[in-house]
Amino acid sequence: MRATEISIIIVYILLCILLGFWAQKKISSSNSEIDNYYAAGRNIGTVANSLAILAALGSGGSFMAGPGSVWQLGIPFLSWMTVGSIVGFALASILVAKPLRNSKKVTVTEFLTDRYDGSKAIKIAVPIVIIMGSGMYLMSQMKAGGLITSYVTGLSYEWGLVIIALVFILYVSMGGMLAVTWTNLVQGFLMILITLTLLCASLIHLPTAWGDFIKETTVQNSNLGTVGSTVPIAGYLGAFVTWATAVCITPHLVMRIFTSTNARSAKLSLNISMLIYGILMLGLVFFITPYIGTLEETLLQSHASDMWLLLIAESFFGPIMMGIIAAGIMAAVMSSTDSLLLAISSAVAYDLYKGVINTKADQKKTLWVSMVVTWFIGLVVMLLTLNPPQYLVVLYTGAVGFMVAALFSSMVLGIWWKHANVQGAITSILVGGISFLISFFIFDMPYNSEILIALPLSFLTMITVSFYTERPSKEILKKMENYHSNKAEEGISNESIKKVT
Amino acid sequence: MEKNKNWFKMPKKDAIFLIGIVLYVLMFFLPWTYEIKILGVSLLAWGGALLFLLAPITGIILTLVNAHTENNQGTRGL
Repeated sequence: MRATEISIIIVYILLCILLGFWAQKKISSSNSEIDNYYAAGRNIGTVANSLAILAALGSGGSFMAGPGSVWQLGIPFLSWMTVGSIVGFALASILVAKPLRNSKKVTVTEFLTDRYDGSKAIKIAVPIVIIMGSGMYLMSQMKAGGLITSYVTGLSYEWGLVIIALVFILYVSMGGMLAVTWTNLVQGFLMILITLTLLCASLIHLPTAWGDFIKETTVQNSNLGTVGSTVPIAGYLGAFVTWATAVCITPHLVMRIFTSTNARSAKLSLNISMLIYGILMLGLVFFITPYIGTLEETLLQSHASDMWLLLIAESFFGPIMMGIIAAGIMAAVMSSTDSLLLAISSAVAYDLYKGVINTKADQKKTLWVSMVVTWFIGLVVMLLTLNPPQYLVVLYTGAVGFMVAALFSSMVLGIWWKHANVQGAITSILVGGISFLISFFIFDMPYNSEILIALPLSFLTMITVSFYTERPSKEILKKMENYHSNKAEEGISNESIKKVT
Repeated sequence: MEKNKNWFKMPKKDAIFLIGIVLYVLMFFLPWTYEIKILGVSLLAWGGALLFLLAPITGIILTLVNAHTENNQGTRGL
């Protein structure tokens, strides 16, 4: 019955696996395997990186579940939550892109350890925060992957999950960031293609003038355009702040900065990707969501809200286009999932194993550990996702908030404030992380608003402790000065800068 | 040659952009936007939606302008 859709999906999956094989071959034949595996050789151009960033951010949550979430939570809440990540990329391009790219590091932990004097506490605490936060995030994306594969193949959710999980674990373990980048490129292109196609179809099928259509829909669903009817205003602000700050520290997004050819390209690709993402999301919110009102109530109730976009698409298209759309949505899910899996495996293999446990491990051994860890984590998270926790969406937004509360102040103040020191960073990570967990689990606060308490506390701790303890050494400040300088941006290596100074 | 003892220097345009975003968000989160509706959708939502485009476009312009300025300074330096 779904032969056409399944054939298109199989072609897409085979393409992803082939890219994984090609990436592995390229990595094993190069002299800088670690750089290639974790940072795609640092030579991804602006356009390619923009597509890859778009794919890494645009997940099942935003594309597949987008219209359903807008319908249930209202345009005001969803527009501020979505614009949080868009603003977040613009902020990241100003606050962290240049120093991170110029540092020539591979992971967030490596950069923070470098900034905070090689502190062992930072080396251990940061990967633990990343593994906890990204692991929960990964679980929610795997669930979306299981749902879409089940929709396309007609198999159960469990089998759908196992199939899609094995595919991306395979190509991430083989080709690392290089495979993730090139598959994300294909995935980003597919996501643009299907969203624009859906947008065109929604314009062609408009039942009345667009303005009247929106007005009628907001009358039909009074929550759609009204402020505070689904989530309190504090929740809007919390969601905005969480995503606006998350981009600066979320490893699977920050890793895209490390893959750029230079800092300027990193900044440009962060903003170009968000311009495309913004246009696509505006289309989904204002042109496609109103069609939910045209679907029968019984049909909506018999399907999860995450699947409502596909119901709208089915009313526009036949099997071939539905196959391409399903592949595009699968791409959206896979592109975030593979980046997250790589971020977690690098936190374990590169930061904890090579950074703490076996500092003398050579490139081959580190990459071997990375492959084993990728399979181990991928399979463990897959098994957990077979029976996901009931409130997964709440937990995953909480997971991102936890990472922000713990890491944002030590990252941003570490880059810009010369007083920021290791004592301040460690206490701010502890205070931010713990106060977030207490707010989340103990107090009954509005959805997403925990960050409004934990983030200021983390900043305050960082500033107070750093101010009253010893200033960082001149060597560290000199190094940071170099990361901010245009010399480093022009590609002059740290070594050569040191020689000159 | 240390210009500022406490902070690394941020380009002025970037700093203005940061402040601009904060002011924009504060302005739209004030209660006056909650009840005003356009096409049945509150002004608060339209404010967020407009930022979908404003933030990245400004970011692109700033990056290009900063690169142009730095190139010019580099050429002058030569």
